[in-house]
Amino acid sequence: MGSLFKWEMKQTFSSKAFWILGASIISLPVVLLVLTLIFSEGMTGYNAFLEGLNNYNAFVIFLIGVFAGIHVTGAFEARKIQSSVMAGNSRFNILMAKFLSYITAVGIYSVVAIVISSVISFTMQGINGFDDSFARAIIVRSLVYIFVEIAYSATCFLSSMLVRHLGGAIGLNMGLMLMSNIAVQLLFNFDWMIKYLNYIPAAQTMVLLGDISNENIARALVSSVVACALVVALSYLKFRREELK
Amino acid sequence: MEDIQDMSDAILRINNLSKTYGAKKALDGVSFEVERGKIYGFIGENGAGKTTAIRAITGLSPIENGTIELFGKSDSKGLAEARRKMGCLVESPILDMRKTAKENLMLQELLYGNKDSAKVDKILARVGLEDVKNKKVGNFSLGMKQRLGIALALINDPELLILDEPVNGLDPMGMVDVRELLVSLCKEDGITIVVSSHILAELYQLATDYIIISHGHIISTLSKEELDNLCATHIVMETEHNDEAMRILTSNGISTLNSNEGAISIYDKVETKDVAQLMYDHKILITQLTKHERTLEEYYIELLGREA
Repeated sequence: MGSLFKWEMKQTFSSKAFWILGASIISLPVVLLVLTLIFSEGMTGYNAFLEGLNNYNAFVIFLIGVFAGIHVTGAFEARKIQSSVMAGNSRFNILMAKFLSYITAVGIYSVVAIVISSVISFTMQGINGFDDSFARAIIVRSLVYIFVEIAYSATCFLSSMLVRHLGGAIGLNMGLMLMSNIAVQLLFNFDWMIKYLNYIPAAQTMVLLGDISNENIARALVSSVVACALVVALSYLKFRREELK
Repeated sequence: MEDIQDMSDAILRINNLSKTYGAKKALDGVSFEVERGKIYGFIGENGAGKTTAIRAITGLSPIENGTIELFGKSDSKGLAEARRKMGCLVESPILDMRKTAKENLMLQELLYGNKDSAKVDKILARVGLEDVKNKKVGNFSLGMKQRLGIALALINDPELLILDEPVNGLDPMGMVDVRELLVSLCKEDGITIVVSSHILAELYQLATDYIIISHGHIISTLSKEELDNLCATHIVMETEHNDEAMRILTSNGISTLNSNEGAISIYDKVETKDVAQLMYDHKILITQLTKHERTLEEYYIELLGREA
């Protein structure tokens, strides 16, 4: 499992997709944040920080599906998964290594983007505007947000496991991310839906911007872990006896 | 599952393997064994089930019925472990065209948890690619890619090498190179090899044993010796006194004879040296003595005809 993960990470770091999409996922929200800060007046550092998180999520919705398609479906197309099966690795270990490398990449994007956005926000607007402690309002929120983004992006891992055509996988991923985001925003208009939406990572990317209570942190973390576990379980169901071309 | 002690030294046992794709039975009760230290030619027409069987052995295709026992292991966990002692080249080499030959091998080595640059260089030298190890694989010829594919299959020091159509698309020199490499891998390194190919003449020169499959059934498994015996159909002899030679042969119990166009054809199962000895004893000068054999191709076509 260890060598499989190293093998996956080596391929991830040597792929152009990781660097090009990573650069886009990190730089575009930062550029948008800087433009917002330049053209808006009186924004506190805290609000700028929240704006940064929101911008990051907006670009993840559009771009992470492309990365997932290349990282997962592309590996099937390039017969890399087949290579690791023939090398005597169990299908579960192969899937786990692939999933871990995917969420590691998403984690790296999230950490770098959020750290850069936060530094810009507080440098340009000052460390002000939050009622809670800095540790809770900024650090804990950022960490939980990263966790939720990873879980939300994991949806694309599952859909990429279901499709064996790169273009199809990217299209499906982008559609899925966009539709889920729109659906969540629409469903927030129904009060009775909110208690259910709080258990969905896609919704938590919005809820966390306003609610950093212990209860919501627990909900966000648990729902993210459950979402990732579901993605792995469903992906394994598809992959365990799949015919590999 | 416990390791199975075995007298026959079979490292791969396929037992009653079946596989269907939709309505088509790709494999139907396929059984055969692969013994250590031999080179097996896996022969069959397009769609006979060669690649399906190989894909099942390598784990790419889940099996429906039957068992695969590899190095004494037949449960799924044991099979996966046993595959670490196996090298494979299925259909075409799995290469990253943007990377160099050495980078491709280093990456494959990492898959087995190793990082030994010297070993990679040694394998590249073994397959004759040491001079181009730092060239991008995208610029390689088909033959070079096939050799690199074999190098990838050798990276884990396999005891069993399974190669699906390794000479496909190669020019005659490329075929000779691959054949010589495989023979040396078997003789010098003791690697057991299973090679599937359509090119029967090539397989005849390479293999020590043959597994013949057609329409998802194994129709024959035989050694090269057995094949040679089956293909040795008759002896053709020309002498200075054919009539006298015919009489001597008949009086010595050889009954299936034919004499025309100045040559005697002997269809009984006799050795050429016995016929030569008989003529020598009766002071008859032999001007030509040959064993006329069917080729593997002719035998295969006849076998398929019989099966049909």
